[in-house]
Parts: sequence; structure tokens; C-alpha cells
Amino acid sequence: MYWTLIKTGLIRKRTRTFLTIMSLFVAFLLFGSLQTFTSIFTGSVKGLSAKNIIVMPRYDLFGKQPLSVAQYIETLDGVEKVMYFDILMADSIESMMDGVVFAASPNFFDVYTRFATTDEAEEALKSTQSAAIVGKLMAKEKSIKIGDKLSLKASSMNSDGTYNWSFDVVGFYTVDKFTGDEMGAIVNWGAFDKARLTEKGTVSMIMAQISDSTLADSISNQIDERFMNSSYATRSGPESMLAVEMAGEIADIKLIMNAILLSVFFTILLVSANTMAQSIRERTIDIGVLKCLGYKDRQLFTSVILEAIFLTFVATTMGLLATLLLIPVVVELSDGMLANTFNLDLKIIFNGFLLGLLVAFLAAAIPSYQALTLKVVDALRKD
Amino acid sequence: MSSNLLIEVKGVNKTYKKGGETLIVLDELNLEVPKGDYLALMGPSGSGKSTLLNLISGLDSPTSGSIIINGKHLEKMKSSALSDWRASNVGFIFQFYNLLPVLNAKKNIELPLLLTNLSSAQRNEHVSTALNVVGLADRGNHKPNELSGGQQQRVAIARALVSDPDILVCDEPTGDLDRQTASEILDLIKVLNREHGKTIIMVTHDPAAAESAKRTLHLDKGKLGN
Repeated sequence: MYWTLIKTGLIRKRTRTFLTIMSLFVAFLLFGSLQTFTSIFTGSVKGLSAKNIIVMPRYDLFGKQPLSVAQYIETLDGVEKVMYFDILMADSIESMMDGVVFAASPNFFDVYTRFATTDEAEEALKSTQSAAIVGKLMAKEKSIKIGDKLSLKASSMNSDGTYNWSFDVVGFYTVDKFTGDEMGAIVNWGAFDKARLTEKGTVSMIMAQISDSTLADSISNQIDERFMNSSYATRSGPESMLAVEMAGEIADIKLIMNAILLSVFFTILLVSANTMAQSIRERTIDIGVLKCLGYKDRQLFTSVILEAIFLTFVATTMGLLATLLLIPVVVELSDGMLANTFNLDLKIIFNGFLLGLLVAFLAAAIPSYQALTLKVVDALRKD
Repeated sequence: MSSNLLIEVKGVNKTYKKGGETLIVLDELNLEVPKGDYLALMGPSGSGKSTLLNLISGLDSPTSGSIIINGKHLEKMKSSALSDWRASNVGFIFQFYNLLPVLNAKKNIELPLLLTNLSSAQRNEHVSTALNVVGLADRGNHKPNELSGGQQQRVAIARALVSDPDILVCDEPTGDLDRQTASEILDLIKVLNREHGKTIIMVTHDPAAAESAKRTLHLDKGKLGN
């Protein structure tokens, strides 16, 4: 019975039904896209490990910390491995590349498992002072091959008094998540530290692999407390948490996204509610006739609610499916830099349908009440 | 109460408030309708014909008095119970047919049956029977806008019949039809009364329509006269 009533309502004005679904579809496409995008800033992106603690300078994102910090971390209970690296920013105009150069400790790939390379390249990095492993994305973009010289002008001064650095490409690395990280190169920290004139014995970041993610907080606190009053105060935490914190320092991304979504949905809600109310007004006689035939007030009330739920269900499904289809397009447009970054997970899908249900109930509230309280005598009045 | 009595209207008053004034639509009205009767109600506009029809069919409740149908006091029934009662006891035929425009004839006729426990096959059988009775067996798949006015009214009659109610209430059933078609519809209604035993109460302005009824009552200013 309900399906007949719902169908009758939906096909009465096909164009209006189509436009209503489309407006809801756009809203849910926006919802899916923004939620997926927000996930980068909320730590729900896959691949950020809770078992990797990052230790960085507390007050300066681009500051340095002495290698002794890494040596201290190695002594802590629960810490399995410690890796560190320094960052050289390559001058994009005068260099062969415009990414980041990580001067990393030999166990970089061992600890930071998102990054992967061949055994030969890893071995060459450890044994050859001038070796560089280049990110696959950058190699593709700049047509860099094994055996090429990687020349760059970097932010650190070389022992010859210039800022010129030259490395030999020995292999390529890939990144499991955040393909944008493939826009860079990895070189040997020991050789680099030996060759630079300033800031010797310092690193930009330290990463500690711990045995159990539940220890992350206590180990992080222990590290930060140890260096709290030194001139190298640290800021430690799981990689996933720090990413969220750092994004939060730029702006409250989630708040902005939610504000956009709220305004979109409020508008869509008004449009849908008005459209449905108008649709019910046009069906006054039909509803009156159905009540004559014995349909109860609550049955007609329910049918209007179900009609709204059907509309939003279709729109939500379409919107989320379109989001799913949109992700590879965005990744393609970003030249692969955003590969594996967007993640339409089950929580977003569940929240989408929950939101759809809420919109349906709110939009149908007034129309269904109209149907509930409509008096047959008034509906069928001829004058 | 006579065993043949189907509808009893006892001392019914119906008033409306309009701008602080009380309008008396029905005034201490009494009416008895036996089973199988075919009653035409005539009267000027505003005389209370449609109001009386609404009260008898359980669409409205009296301000005071009783509406007793088959021993049941409609004025004491709640909205939900009245809906159930209407679904199995009353068929409606309107002046403007009031078919749902997006459904074809069969689906329109099937609407009252969706409230029953009948299976899809049983519903289809009832719908076919109703279509045969009104002579539209070959028009079941047509939508209302593909049918003439007379055919639409026949579909409406089939919808009123399909749940086999005792009472058919007709509100100006020929008011929107030409003379020839109106005559055909009246003949059909007469058949429903004589051959199918339906009790029919028809509101009409048309003396020719009233002539087809077994008896005619005139309403004026809320009171009945012959």
C-alpha cells in the first residue's frame, strides 16, 4: 500500500521530483567530498601509523634538534627503533627538482614503512656517500633515471662555501599513502652532515617506532618532559595525531567544513520542505479521496514521511557514489599527488545516510502534518 | 428499529461558527433509509445536502443528534474506526470523479483493496469484476486523462463498488456530464441499486437524475421536506 502511495506522489510531477533529487544529490556530493577531504586533517587517513612517534622542535616547525635527543629516545622502554632525518629545501628555480630532500639515517625505510625502495637502492644509500633515492612521482615528472646526477641548490651551506649539492641517483622510492611524498629525494644523513658547514649534528625530525601504540602517550610525554626546560624543547606524539594538530594550527578546518555543510544543508532543507509542502498542497484532493476510501490519517502521514525518506535515500546514495567516482578524478588532476589520500570510509557513509534521514524527517514534518490534519470535507469542498 | 432499516438520522443538528456568528446547516433533522433504497436529495445550494451526505458517510460528525447505520452510532466512533468503517461500508462517487491522475483505471480501482488483506491475485480479480460491471473491461490500463468524462465516472463507480459496500453515496454524479452520458451513468447506478442491492443516496440538482431514484427528498435551510 505504502509503495503505491509513495509512487503516486513521486510520479505526479516527475520534473519536480527529479529537480528535488538533484538538489539533494548536490548537497550529499558536497557532504561526501568535504568529509573525505576533512579526513586528511582529522587523522582518519589510512597509513598514518599510531605506532610511530614523531619528535620535532616544540616551537619551530622548521627548527633543528641535536642528535642526542634521538640517542636519548633509543634508551626508552617500549621504543624499538629510532630513525631521524634532516630536511633540505631545494630551490625550485636553480635545482633539478622542486621537492624536499630528506637527509635520513640508514634505517629510514626500516622505520618509516610507508616509504619503500629496492634492497639494492637501500644498500647503495648506506654505502655510497653521494647516493640519492628519488621519489617515483618526481622521477616521472622530471624524467630522472638511475645514474643521473641530481644537482640542486639547497638551504644548507656545503663545505665549499656554496649552496650547491650534487648526488648520484641510485634508485627510486614509492610511498604507500600520500603519493605527494614521492615529490622528493632521500640522501645519506651521515654524508650530508659531514659535508655541511653549519648546524652539524642536528636533525629536523626524529621518528621512534614503539612496540605498542597504547604506549604512545606515555613515551611522548616522557620525551617532552625530559627536554621541556632545554633550549631544544620537543613536541612528540603519534604521527596521526601530530598531523591533525599541525593542520589545526593553520585553521580549524573541520569547523570551516562543517559551517559550509551546515549552510548548504539548511538551504537544501528549506528548498525540500517547501517543495514537499507545495506537492502536498497540490495533492489535497487526492488525500481527501484517499481518506474517503478509508485510508487513515496516520497512514497518509507515514506515506509522506516515507516519500521524503525515499527521495533523500536516492539522493544520498547518488551523492556518495558520485563522491566515490570523483576521488580518482581529483587524484588524476593532482598528477597522483593525492593518491590514497581521500578516503570515503564507512563512518562517512553511515553519517551521510543518518543526515539524509534527518533531512527527510525535517523536510517532511510540515507536509506530513498537513496530510495528517487535512479534513476530507475541506479537501473535497467544491466551491 | 425495523430490521430493514439501514440508516437512521435522529435529531441531527450541524452548525458552523463563522465570524462569531453561528450558522445552522442542519436543523433537528430526522431521516430513515431502508436497505436497498435509492434516495435522491435535492435542494438549493447551501441547503445542507452535502453536509448530510458527509454525516451519513462518516466524513463529518454532527453537532448533536445521532447517525445510526446498521445499528452503529457513527457520532460515537473515533476517526480511525470511522476510516475502517468507511473502507468496508461506503462507496463514494463524486461530481468530478476524483481519480488519481497518475494511476491507470485498474490501479485507481484497486486503491480501496490495498487496505484489505486480499492477495494481489484476489485484488486483480475484484478489479476485473468491477470493471466488467461498469462496462470498461477493455480500458483498465488507461490513465484518467486518456478516458472520456463518462468513462472516468464509470471508473470512479467501479472504485466505489470494488470493496462491495452496502451504501453508495453520490454527490452530483452527473453534474459534469452531458445529457446522454449522464443518462448512461444514471442507468448504471440504477442497475447497482436494483440488481446488486446497493443502498444509494444521491445528492443532485438535476430533476432528471432525481427521477431515476426511488424517492426524492428536498432539503431547505437544513430541514427535510417531500
